Amino acid sequence: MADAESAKALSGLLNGIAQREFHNKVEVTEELLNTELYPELSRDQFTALHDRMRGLLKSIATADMDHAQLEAFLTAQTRRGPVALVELELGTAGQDSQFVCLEFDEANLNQVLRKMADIQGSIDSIVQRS
Amino acid sequence: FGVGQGTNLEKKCDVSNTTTTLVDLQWKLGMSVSSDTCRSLNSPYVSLLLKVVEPSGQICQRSFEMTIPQFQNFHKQFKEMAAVMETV
Repeated sequence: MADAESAKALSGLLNGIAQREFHNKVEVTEELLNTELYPELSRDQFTALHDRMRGLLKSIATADMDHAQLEAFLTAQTRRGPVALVELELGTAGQDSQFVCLEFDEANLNQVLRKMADIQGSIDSIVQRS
Repeated sequence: FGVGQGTNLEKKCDVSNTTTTLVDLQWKLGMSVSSDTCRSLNSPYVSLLLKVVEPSGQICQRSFEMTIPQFQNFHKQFKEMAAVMETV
């Protein structure tokens, strides 16, 4: 029961933010969303939630994510399981290396491994042809 | 866990020393035909484009190339990681 209620409130919040940010419905103010959907939260508490959700929606829209990307992205927001940390050293001749640190949970890792298997398959087919 | 090496081709924002999450990985297999230092290369390479999201939510792209041996080492390290993750 509690889960259905909170899902409904969150759905309303995401819709409200989308209406204001992407459809210019300026009447959907933060205050309105607070009082209508989360009356039990103080203004500060609601602002923290609102800003986080707005950030997520904007990232999703900006990146024009498809379903697989969205799943990876949202999973990363709620990750609880063990993760692998990868540090990539990328360099260009004559310049300092840059380091990129990436986190992978089991699902991400399996997705990457599938892509790598595809790459290896492609390499193998070139080797066979030559 | 592992360190892969490649040549940095392009970046849209600086994600140095920041833990980020991979959202998408695109790849292509290319062939270097010729260069100013070698007329007949016929050398395949792997080009990767990573779309990553920073803790802040900002999306960045990083692209880089690897030789085939580099890619195979990269692949091997990921397989090892997956094997270790299964035991956790």
